[in-house]
Amino acid sequence: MKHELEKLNGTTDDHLVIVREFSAPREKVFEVLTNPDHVKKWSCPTSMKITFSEGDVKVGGTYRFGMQSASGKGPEMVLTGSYKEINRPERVVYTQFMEMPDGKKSPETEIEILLEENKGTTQMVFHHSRFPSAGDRDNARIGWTDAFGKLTDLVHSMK
Amino acid sequence: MSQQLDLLFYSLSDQTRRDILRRLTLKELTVSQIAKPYKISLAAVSKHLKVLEKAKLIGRRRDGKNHIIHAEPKTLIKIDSWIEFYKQYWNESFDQLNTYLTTVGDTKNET
Repeated sequence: MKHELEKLNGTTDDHLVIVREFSAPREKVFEVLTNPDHVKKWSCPTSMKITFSEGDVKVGGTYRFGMQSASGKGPEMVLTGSYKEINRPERVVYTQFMEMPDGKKSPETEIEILLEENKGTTQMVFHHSRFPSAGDRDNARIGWTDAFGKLTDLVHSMK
Repeated sequence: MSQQLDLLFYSLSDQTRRDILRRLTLKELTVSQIAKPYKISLAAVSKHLKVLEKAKLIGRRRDGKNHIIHAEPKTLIKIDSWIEFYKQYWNESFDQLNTYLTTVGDTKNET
């Protein structure tokens, strides 16, 4: 089953799709995906930890969470954004960008999550898209190369 | 993580290397021109260049006695794509989510 699902995964330059199955009802998956107290428990790679997680899960509400290497060394990366659409428990759309310590922001991206349940198993289709570069001309935004610099500081501060 | 991507991240994880790369995107330079503004030794700069070269971020050509270093635009374009990072990030996170879900009680039956 996992291999079949993996065929559905894909990327283009501006869009990535991940398909996953969870052995849990849709309502529970939706809650764990969006509730900031739950998000704190899973939303980073094993080598990192979430330093704080807060959010207001309603249309127009914002969320914010921080990531750091598990050892606590290195910079903290803050991910934040706002909710555009919420259709519990089947769909949620929200924006995401990185907040840099100097106050600048990375380009904004959009996440859409679709959940379908079949006999206690939930299938998630996860879309992450980047807006075309017209939106990146804002002075407050930095390029992804700079953002990647900060990210790699983070990723490698634990090696 | 694919090996090439791992190399990319590793090479970008150092501030000096990022600065070297930034300068090379503006114009190509000799090794000594690259080394000039940094307080570290030429040997240390050379090591940085080897890392960048291994990640295919820079290339070099000989001009008489000098080595002229240039940035590789194709690899840079790949870095600018945020996709590879997020793909890895999300896949690892969803693995964690899957594990975490088994520990979360139902609203009816709290464990």
